[in-house]
Amino acid sequence: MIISELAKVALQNLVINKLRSFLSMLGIIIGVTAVIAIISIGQGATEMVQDTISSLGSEIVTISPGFRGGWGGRAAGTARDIFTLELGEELKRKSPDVAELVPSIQSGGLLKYGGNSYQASIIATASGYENIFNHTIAEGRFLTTEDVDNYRKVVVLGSTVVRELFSNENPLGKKVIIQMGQRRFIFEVVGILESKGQVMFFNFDNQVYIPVTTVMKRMTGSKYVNSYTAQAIDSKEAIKQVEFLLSKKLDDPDLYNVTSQEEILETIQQVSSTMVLMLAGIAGISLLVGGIGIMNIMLVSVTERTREIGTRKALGAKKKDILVQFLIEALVMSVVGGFVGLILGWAVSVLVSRYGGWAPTLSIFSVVIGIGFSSAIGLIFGIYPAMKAAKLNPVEALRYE
Amino acid sequence: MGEVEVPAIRGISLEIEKGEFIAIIGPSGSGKSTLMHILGCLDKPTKGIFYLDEEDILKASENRLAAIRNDKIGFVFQQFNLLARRSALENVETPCLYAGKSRKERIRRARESLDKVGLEEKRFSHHPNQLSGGQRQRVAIARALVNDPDIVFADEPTGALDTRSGDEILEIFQQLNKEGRTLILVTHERYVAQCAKRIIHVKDGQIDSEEHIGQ
Repeated sequence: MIISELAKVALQNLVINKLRSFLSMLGIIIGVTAVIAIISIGQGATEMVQDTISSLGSEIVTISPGFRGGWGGRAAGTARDIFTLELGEELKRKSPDVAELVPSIQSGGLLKYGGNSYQASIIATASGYENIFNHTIAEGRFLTTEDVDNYRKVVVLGSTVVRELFSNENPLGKKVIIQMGQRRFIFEVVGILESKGQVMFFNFDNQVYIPVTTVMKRMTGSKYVNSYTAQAIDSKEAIKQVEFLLSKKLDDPDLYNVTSQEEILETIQQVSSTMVLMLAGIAGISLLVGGIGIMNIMLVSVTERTREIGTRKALGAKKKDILVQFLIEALVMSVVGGFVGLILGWAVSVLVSRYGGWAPTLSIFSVVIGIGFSSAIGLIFGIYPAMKAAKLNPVEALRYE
Repeated sequence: MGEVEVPAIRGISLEIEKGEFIAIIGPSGSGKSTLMHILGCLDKPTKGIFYLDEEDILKASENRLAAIRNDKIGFVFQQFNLLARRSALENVETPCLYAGKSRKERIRRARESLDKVGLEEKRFSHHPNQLSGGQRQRVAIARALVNDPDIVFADEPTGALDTRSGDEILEIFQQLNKEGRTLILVTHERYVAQCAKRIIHVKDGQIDSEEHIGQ
């Protein structure tokens, strides 16, 4: 018996029953589409996040207050009491693997210039911050040591802030009003950053930077900063050194958190691969449902074609010939469905990647999964109807009305 | 619940020589179809002996029976039993497909066979629903002959045809018999049975009587 001949016949049968074949394949099509799209989107998004995190700079270590067990993930209050500028200096001085360390206080405030206003994130920090995060200065300069030492009221603007406040004017040297709570402060614009775009949940372009000392001395009166960001030579070593120094200051290691960018990256990778697997698993369920759909239609087909099966047996078809014929029909249906799903899934991932802003990826892995799974399902769910057909008694099959 | 075994035929003793033209005649329910199914290796009797060309059919496997049907036997049915979605040529090719013949060989044999039963070449590509009853039965006969079988079984071959087409079909059968093929015709019509050389009357699962025509 010639397999290619049977495949041709199976295809013809599918074409004759167009609507029915399509509906039967729909489950497989949807399942494969979902699996391919999810894997591809997951990969694309993860790669993009990795790229952007790496583009921030490398070997960055963040020292932030620890979170108390409690609930709501509230920052531990006591930890703030030691995050002073002096501690930052000490950490930088005593850790050989910390090349640069800047304090920062994050807050929000309303910026006003002329008739325009913009709600921006305010980062109070020091000189060196721009190097750690790979910021490029578009115009003017970043904060300097003199700015910090003299509590100067100067501000460096992100590109979105510039666009929102200054339509066509050159912002350099202009005075902007920063409103925090009920109080207003006048700052002079000394620099503009180049656009960096959205990096995960952070938008660097809607941030403005002011000297950390200006906030502490002139605005809030606080002696403490929120966190430190360090440029490490070797982040693993730097973490050890900083943790050791902090442990001498504080008894409770839960009060502070020292993490490197690499650790964050690893966590993101783990979380995203788990998510992709879970979603693909859910999509896989619809493949299963698709398989049941194919089995159902094949059982109907076997019943409808009982006489044909009887005739074929009378003409000399062996059990194996009938089995192969029906198995191939189920297989063709599921593989065609798999290919359609592959194309649709690819289309969906290209579409989504356009919105997400990453390069669409179609991995061999997802192609193998799409085609492999759908043909496996065709085989698994096709075998029972095909066996049923093959086992028919020729005399009874010929008599079937 | 058990099934009660009701023998459709019993006590039948029959010998058919190569080249005979036999008609099995009897009312419906007489067991003539069962007899044909057994002779045609579609079914095995629960008890008894059946030798075909010195081969003990009761001991043959299902695959062996399929091979015998493919190689030695051709079937013609009352309702033609053509594959609806296949052309006349493809229908005739089918037994060759199961015999594992090459595509070229299949087409050559199918054309030859269709020529033999007198179907016009322009109809080779037609599907069964584009053919008349007589033409369909010709295709079915061509299909039965394509593997050059020794025995041709015909189960009420004229039952679904008008008299004229029926007569033409019977003529083909007589021609086949003249070429030396064994023909076994199952019918309930006396008129159809008459074209055979030996008529076997079946009644209540047994051979009631036998008659020889002509000579």
